[in-house]
Amino acid sequence: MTTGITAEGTGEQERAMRQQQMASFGRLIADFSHEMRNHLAVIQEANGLLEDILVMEGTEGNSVPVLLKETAAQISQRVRRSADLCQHLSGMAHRSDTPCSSFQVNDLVAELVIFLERSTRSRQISLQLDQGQGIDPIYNEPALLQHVLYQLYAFSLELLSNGQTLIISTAIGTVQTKGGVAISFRLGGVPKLDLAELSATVSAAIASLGAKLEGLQQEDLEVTEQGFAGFCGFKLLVPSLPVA
Amino acid sequence: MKDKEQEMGKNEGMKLLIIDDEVEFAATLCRRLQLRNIDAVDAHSGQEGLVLLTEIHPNIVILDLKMHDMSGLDVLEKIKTYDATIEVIMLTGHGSVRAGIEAGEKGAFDYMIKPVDLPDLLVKIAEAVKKQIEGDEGRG
Repeated sequence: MTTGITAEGTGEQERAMRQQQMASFGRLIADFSHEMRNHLAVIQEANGLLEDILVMEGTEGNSVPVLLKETAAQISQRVRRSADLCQHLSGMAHRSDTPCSSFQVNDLVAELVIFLERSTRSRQISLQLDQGQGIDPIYNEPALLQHVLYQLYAFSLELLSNGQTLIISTAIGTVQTKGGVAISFRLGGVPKLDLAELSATVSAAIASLGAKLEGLQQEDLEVTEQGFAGFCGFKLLVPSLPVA
Repeated sequence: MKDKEQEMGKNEGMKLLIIDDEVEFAATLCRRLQLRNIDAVDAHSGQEGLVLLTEIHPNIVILDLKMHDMSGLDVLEKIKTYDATIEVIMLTGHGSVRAGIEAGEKGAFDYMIKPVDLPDLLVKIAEAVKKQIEGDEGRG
């Protein structure tokens, strides 16, 4: 009987975790859509301006060739940025193709940060990415890790105010993570945080990765010339699981 | 398209303020409206928009919903407090229907999702001007 109750409880927890994972993905898609609409709007207006210039040549002070060149450059740049976004979205969507796989954590984090830029910018928070070198690929659940990172980002965002800084960094894991990766979140201007405030569902997702979340110690924070007075943070230790 | 663009002819003499932190978008749209003899000015933040509001007293404001320094809905409220007769068209990349409803409740004239065709926007501007003129006549 005890086993049955536990199994039922675990099943509910699993469902809740997957639902939250879908919600994270949904929010990322919403941000993607917003970003794309803005690029398309600029492309559309720039293209419209090209047409206007051709029809109403010389109505303004600037010479037509200069205006055409500037506008064409604007269109090219926005098309490039839109294509990059689509490429990253495609990569993110395909992470769910196989639950477990070998992947580069740096690629996954960089991909996520691209989608988070708009929401941090709209909150006037500076988002910085500091990628460690020489990190080997790990074997784990990339889609679930991305969801966990999104939830940790959302948790951090709640604690940060306008003008503050969030630094996400990666490093080779310690012995604890058995060759895995440490992903740190440093919150500038936030004196303290309580990891117990993370939801049970996020904690379950972390456990499902075989990962561990711990607060950053003072020595982990003093990594720049300026030091990190007024910073606090946490790190996620993600192991590389044995290949099944 | 040309029929729609002819609507703009009715808008001469009005002042229009674009508030959007997508600088390239705001500047290009502003230029295209100016080419159509609309007295348009662009601001690239909520704060800058509110300063220009009191300086140029626009008839119509085109306002982005999500900006880096403040929410478009907060800017909308301040515009309506400053002068309730100014018609505000929300223009945003944010696709949420709820945001549109909320904007309407706070007094926005309409809500359009980017990218938007300029002729459609010109029609919307003409409708907003018409509503404003009718309101003025009703008050006068």
